[in-house]
Amino acid sequence: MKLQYNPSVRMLRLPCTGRVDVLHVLKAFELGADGVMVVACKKGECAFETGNLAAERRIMFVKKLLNQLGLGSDRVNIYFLSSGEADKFVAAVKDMVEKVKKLGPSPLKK
Amino acid sequence: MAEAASHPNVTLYTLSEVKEVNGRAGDFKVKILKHPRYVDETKCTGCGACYEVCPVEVPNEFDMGLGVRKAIYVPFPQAVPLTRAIDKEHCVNCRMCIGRCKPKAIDYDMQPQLVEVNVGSIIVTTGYDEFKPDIRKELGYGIYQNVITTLEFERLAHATGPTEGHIVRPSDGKAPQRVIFVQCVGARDLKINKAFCNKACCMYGMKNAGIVKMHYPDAEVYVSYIDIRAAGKLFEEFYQARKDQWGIKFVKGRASKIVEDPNTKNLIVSLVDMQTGDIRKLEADLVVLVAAFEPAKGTEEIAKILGLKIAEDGFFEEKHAVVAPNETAISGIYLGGVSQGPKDTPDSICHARGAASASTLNLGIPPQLKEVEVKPEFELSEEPKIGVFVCHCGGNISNYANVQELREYAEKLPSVAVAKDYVFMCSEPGQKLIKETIAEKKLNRITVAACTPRVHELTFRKCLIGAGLDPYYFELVNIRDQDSLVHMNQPKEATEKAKDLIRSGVARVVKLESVPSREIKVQQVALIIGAGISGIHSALDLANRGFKVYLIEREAEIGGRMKKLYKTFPTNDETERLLKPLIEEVKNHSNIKLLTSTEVISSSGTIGDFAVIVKQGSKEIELKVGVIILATGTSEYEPAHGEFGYKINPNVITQLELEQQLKEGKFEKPNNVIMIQCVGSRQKEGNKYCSRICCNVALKNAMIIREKYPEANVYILYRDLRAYGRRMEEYYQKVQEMGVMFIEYDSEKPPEVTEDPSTKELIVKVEDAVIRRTIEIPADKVVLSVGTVPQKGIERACELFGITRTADGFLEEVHLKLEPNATRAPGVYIAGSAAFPKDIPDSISMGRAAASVASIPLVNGLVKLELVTALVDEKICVGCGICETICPFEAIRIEETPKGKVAVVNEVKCKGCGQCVAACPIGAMSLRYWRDEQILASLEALLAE
Repeated sequence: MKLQYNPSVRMLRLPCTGRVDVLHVLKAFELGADGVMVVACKKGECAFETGNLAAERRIMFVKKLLNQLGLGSDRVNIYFLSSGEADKFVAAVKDMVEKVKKLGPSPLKK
Repeated sequence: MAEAASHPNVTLYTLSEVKEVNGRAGDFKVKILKHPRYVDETKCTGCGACYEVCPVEVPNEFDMGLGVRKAIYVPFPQAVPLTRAIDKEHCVNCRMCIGRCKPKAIDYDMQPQLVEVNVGSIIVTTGYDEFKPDIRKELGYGIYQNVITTLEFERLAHATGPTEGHIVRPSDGKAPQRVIFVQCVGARDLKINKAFCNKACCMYGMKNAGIVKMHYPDAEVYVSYIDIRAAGKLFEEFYQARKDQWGIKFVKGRASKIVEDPNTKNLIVSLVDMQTGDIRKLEADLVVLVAAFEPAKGTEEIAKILGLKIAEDGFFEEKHAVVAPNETAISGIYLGGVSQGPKDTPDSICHARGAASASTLNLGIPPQLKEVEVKPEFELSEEPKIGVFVCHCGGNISNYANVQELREYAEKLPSVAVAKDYVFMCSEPGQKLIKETIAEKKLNRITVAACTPRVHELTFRKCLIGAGLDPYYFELVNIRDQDSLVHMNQPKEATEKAKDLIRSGVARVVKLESVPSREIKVQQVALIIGAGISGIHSALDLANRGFKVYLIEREAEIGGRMKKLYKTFPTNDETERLLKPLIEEVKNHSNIKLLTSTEVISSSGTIGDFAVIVKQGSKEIELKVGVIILATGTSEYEPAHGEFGYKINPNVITQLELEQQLKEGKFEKPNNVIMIQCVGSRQKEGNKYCSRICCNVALKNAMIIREKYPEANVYILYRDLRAYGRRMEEYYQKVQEMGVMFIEYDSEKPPEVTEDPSTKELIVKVEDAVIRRTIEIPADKVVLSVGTVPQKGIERACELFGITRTADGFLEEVHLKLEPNATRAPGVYIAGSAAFPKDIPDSISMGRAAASVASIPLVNGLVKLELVTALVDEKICVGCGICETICPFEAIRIEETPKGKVAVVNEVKCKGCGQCVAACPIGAMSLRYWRDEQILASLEALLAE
């Protein structure tokens, strides 16, 4: 589809979002990421049945942590879409970038 | 190409032609004339020294004559085999190349060779040549320099082409600012006896129009067309995006004349704009004639040698246009791809795979492939020595990111011994470059920066195996789909992002580990879900090859959608007559166990060894199978209550309801019948896609009504008439001649159906988009050509089998163009319209294609299961059981051991998602190949700068 999106996004491949550990997300912030987006399969269409739901629970937890740390819970978000839905992915990137822009650069950035 | 050439069961004859064929199915004797190459394939190293000294320059055929080549040459950079050949017609016998050739591979006295081979089946895959538009003199091709054809354009736009990817005017080398693409050149043109629609050119015309826009965003780009036939998967969406977002201007009207302004060499294209009725003269500095396909040169000779018939369109005639698209009248001879009429890539692949399936039924099972273990010729060092290979992807990467800069950057990264870039890393020479560099630099780990792992991870892993390396010491970095192609207008940012991605990939490859595998004995049984025309063909092919097949069907009767139809297009055969023998064959086949009124309840296991529970009535049955084919078909779009009067007035019916009335003889003589196209298709909101078959269905039913009741008036209200498929354009012309009336309407102004309150007579009001006048037609019947929607319950099937859907809701294939049959779940395949609406021959081809692909693990009998599985550190594990609860595959159990409770992983059941790893509260779980240290290494590197 070649839909264009903001080039400030960097990808990290994982076998399933169920593999996403709270540690990975926090590490990304420690390393200076302004935001972390987790892109999971659509609900009900996870190749590993429940991986996306497990990820959602963890991301909700990270959101709480970020709030407590004063970083802003919107710095981490999870999106549910299929690999065939380029338009939704682009919309997710747009949403994420807008949310992060509102919060400004991460104070953890060195 | 590289895969076919290196396959142990494939012998490749290039520069060769078939001279004689004798015998019959199962025992053909084929005489092949191998023309001399004058270069010994076994000695040539492809170094290119000969090419440098050759003094002769000849127009390069591969570049459509736009560039030059030498008399000793390789036709194109990815050619297989990559051995040079001498073109003796132009060679001047100077012998300079002989002097330069170190391996002494050149032999001027090489003689033609006649080879005789014995084969059981023959598949004709001769493809096409581009139509040469010079007989249409008024279009100026061959007269004006700046009128070119699409294939010429493709060479201009291609990074390996004569201009290295710069789209320029042939007359002066300047960048064009106004380009016109002229559709239907050599197609839909009765004057030159080219009646057929080429099926593929609307899409490649607009693809290339988009490429102009990518190169020159400010350029004005026009497409002049008759109907836009964007009737494939995601095609309509592609078209709408080109029109609405890319700013390409689509002008409805066939270009009638092109003349040149001799001063500027600009071109004036004349056409009648069918939407305004105006005669327009569009000026352009480059005109691309989107030329149709012609049967490949030599088609008639091949037909003579094989005894095959040629159809009216010039392509080979199949055994039956509807139900035997892959076969010919001669047993043992089959057709694949465009030899049987124009097709796009996925349709060609399905058709050819269908032919492969048909052709191997009587050949027996081939010998099992033996893996040859290659050992590297050098000592592998302990320290990581990484080679980074940056792919240009023929411009898809290099046009938008600076690949030289990336190579230089990669070379400086820690542990990287060497970095190289090349135009196509996946091609045979690209892979050769990797292998040679591994040997030369004694590499032990490889990072390729190219495209998506979904397409080429396996390609490069095989390449590593060929070089003697462990295939898991490899990381594919996606700088194409996730970088260059999505940041086309930001080359700087794209290059910077690619650097980060490469750095991350290199950090990961340092930490990677070997992955052990386990061999699974394949249950040599197939499960096919859905017994429509496609599933029936999958079942018959696999059963005839000797495998046991379970064929399950939700309905009480088999035959699917086809069973509900009255007649077929374009042959007007009664479907009943065509379908009945197939249904009987399925019912009586000793290898097929048919389960009707049956649904799937659950599925577990993996390729080679699935356990699927199905329910028939109150009975639950467990099926142990090795492969699964989803041939679940589609549902019909159901119009909303009152949509075009549906369900309010009984005389508003769908095409399927009309067919039933026709079939049962209940369709009474009407005065006026009005068919409305695109109901539930091509919508702004809702189903955006074109349902592909409804125009043809309307044509067929219009013809049937006119044949039965010649006095009846039949109107078809349409947006673009998409007579899509072989012989359908000719069929459309016949329907026009029969007096069916066609009225085009605008998508913004759909027809309105009302009824007279007193008489209940239907009245259809529509604005004719050509004459721009609103007309009202009374109707006895309004027939809605409703679209096709994903099958009911498809969401559940996705969940059960771990597969995905595309944005349109249909099943998603591994690759839209190149791998239409496989899904992302190994061992689960797609057949027929479950992937996208299809007519009967395309459904059959795809059903047979799925059988062909699914038979690979069945034939091999063994599959290797990569053990990317969870591992328990027993020293840490306390047996709390969280992992056992979270695992969706029941792959973890808590066991009592002398040292206490501990989690135990069943490595066959484990699918490697890693949910247990993230859930383990004390870090006792890890996932092989996706360990924390591997993920964190790539994450740290990714965000390092």
